Amino acid sequence: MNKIVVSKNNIKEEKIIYLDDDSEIYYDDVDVCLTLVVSKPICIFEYIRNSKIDISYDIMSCVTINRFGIDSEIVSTFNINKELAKVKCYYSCFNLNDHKYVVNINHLKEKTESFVLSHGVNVSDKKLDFLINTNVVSDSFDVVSNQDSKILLLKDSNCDIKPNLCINNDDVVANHSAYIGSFNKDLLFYLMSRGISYDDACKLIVKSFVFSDMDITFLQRGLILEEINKYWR
Amino acid sequence: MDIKIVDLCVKVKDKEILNNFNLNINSGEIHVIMGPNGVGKSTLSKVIMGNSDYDVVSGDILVNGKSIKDLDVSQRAKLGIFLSFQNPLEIEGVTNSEFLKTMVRDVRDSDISLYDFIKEVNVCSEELEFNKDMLHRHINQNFSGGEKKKNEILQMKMLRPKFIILDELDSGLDVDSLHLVCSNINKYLEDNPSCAVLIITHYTRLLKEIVPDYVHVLKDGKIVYTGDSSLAEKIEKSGYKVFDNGTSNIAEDTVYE
Repeated sequence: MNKIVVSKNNIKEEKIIYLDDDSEIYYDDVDVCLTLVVSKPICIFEYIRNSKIDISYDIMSCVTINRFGIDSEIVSTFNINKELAKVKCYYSCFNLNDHKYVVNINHLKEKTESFVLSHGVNVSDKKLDFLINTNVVSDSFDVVSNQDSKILLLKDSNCDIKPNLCINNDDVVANHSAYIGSFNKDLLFYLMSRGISYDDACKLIVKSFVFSDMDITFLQRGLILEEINKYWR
Repeated sequence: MDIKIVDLCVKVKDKEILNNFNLNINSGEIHVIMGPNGVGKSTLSKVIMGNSDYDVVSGDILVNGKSIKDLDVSQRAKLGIFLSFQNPLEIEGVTNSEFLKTMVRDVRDSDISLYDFIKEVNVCSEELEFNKDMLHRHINQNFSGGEKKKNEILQMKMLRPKFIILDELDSGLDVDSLHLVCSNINKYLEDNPSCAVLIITHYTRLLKEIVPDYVHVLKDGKIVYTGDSSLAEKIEKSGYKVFDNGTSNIAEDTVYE
């Protein structure tokens, strides 16, 4: 597995990285613009902390991205530019300040697929915005594009989710869903009816929310758990 | 555990669900609540458990003589009240074993060693013929109806409650699974003879497995008739229409012939 660390010492100029193996990419306190080229089926784990990043993926195969962010501003563009290429991007984050998470999914070839799941936990009363743009060009037929966005509010705050679907072909399946709200009362009742305290029940719900469908290793899970444990116990 | 429900009035969004509801359940007794759809059977179970969606207008719930009105849901569970849900919820991202371990730790108020926990879970799972792989899957996710109900009873066995509420336990269980789940509950009751049980059901097949001491009919937010286990059979034959005229004439045997 590749391990790439993009930290303060890295150069800020635009870089291109070719990924041909499962990879872990750590962005720590940086302001960086990257292009990543993926030509083989791989799985990527991205850990983004206190950073402002602009990532562009050129996707020519099937790629799964498991992305976890802490208080970061992220713009990511997926250019799916080979027939039958697929991208799945699972993103979870903890937000403390005003931030935007922007995803542009460009289906540039036919028979391509995308699934973008974005889950944000807004810890503070600041603003977290999700802007998920799907663009299917007129030549791209038989395309599937789904997006599912949720923001869990721990305090009163004004957050936004904007799902934009720009579909220029008739032969496309595209879905989106969005939810902003507090803890699910039914889940809390179920967990607490087992003697689990309110705090522990909230922690379990946050864990459930953050990990959801992520396909990550035990160690990667541990890294995220460390973050969760900072807020709950 | 003795449970006494006194003059309980419950509303949801200004709609009265329970109206001066009274019920005494002494320790070791098995009570059944039956009634048409929408009369408040599940509401009763959730109110006992402390669901804040329901507004308790008046009345009280006493456990061993002490009011539990001011206790939250988890405090009631720690007291020994267990509710087996009609539709157990699915929780993605949290494994069943993590859930079980958290609940056992919180209820017993002490950390259980991993070895003891695994040993205990394995014994309970085997008794329920609950596939151990399910312990490592997310809570109830992609479980069949029967597996979800077995998972509820697994949780019950791990929590060792003193008062068990079974809300439509039989829904989703096939004949063999129902027998297995009920024999587990019966064994638990044998081992814990002071444990009280409240069963909410529509059908008698569950009551053939767990034989009740009392059967109550709930209508219009209150109990309109109480009988022994034979009442359930009579209800299955005649339906609830015989209770339409109030409580005075339903005791006549002719009603059920």
